[in-house]
Amino acid sequence: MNTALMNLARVAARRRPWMPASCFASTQLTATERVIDRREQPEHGLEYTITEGCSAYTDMVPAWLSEVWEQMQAIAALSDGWDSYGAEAPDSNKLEAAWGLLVCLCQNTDLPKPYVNPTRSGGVQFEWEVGHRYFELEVVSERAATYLYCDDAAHVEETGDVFALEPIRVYIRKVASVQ
Amino acid sequence: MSDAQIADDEVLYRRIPPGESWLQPPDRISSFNFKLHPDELGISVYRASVVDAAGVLSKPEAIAGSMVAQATVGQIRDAQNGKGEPLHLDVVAVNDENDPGHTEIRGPVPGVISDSAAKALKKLFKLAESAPDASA
Repeated sequence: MNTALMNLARVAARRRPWMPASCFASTQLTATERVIDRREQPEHGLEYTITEGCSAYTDMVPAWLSEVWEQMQAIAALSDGWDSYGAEAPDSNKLEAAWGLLVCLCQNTDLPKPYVNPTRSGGVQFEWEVGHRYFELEVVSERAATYLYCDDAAHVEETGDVFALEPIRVYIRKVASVQ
Repeated sequence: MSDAQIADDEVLYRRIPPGESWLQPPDRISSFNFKLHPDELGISVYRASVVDAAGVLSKPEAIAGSMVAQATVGQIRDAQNGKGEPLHLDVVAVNDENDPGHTEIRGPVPGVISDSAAKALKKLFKLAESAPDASA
């Protein structure tokens, strides 16, 4: 087990042993919307922090979250050069941040499951794509994520840094609403 | 700046790593395949006129189970962002006698491929269905 995988497993163990979403009890933890604490850090640019209070262990997370966890574990096991073009092995801090962001994002929502990908710089990227609409969310550091939304039919493209969850949910719902 | 040596109708190949354990579906092409590592100037591809798909898959660094995706030089030079604006991508030959056919897709600023450009490349590149898996 490599370091990234061990760290990810440690994070999971610290929170609670993994259980299928169907086993989550509603009384275990209460979800909170206060998940992102915006702060200015001049030396690192604008970053966000996932605060305490988000957990996969409520009954208000989608069932697909357990599948994503398995995908994240597989990603954590990748080694340097996993793409054959010199990609970095996934960084455990970025993996943890990505997991935390996704858990917070999907709590108490019916958001669809994203495509889950490692990035070549050791981060993680979530993508939602239906027809002409596309949304990607890339965790670029422990406390920073960027997004890209495209609607090819409407010639719309929007990019930016992640500061709050609800605008991200709006983008994902736009993608999911394509018939 | 265009490299006149590489014609618009030339096909380019890029390896797509196997993702059966973490990618669903495992043969989906993602924009991450076209994002730069910080120490790269451009996205590495191979010219089909110099190296065929099997050759791309048999490179020493290729990973077993990899696939090959392809697009033409002209498609890349004409690539647009989601708003329909030109991305000004170009295809530049990389002189490397030990790696014939090696070419790079570069943005208007070397070392920078925007997320928008990576997404456009994801859309352009299609799996080369006839490419044999030389590493199998």
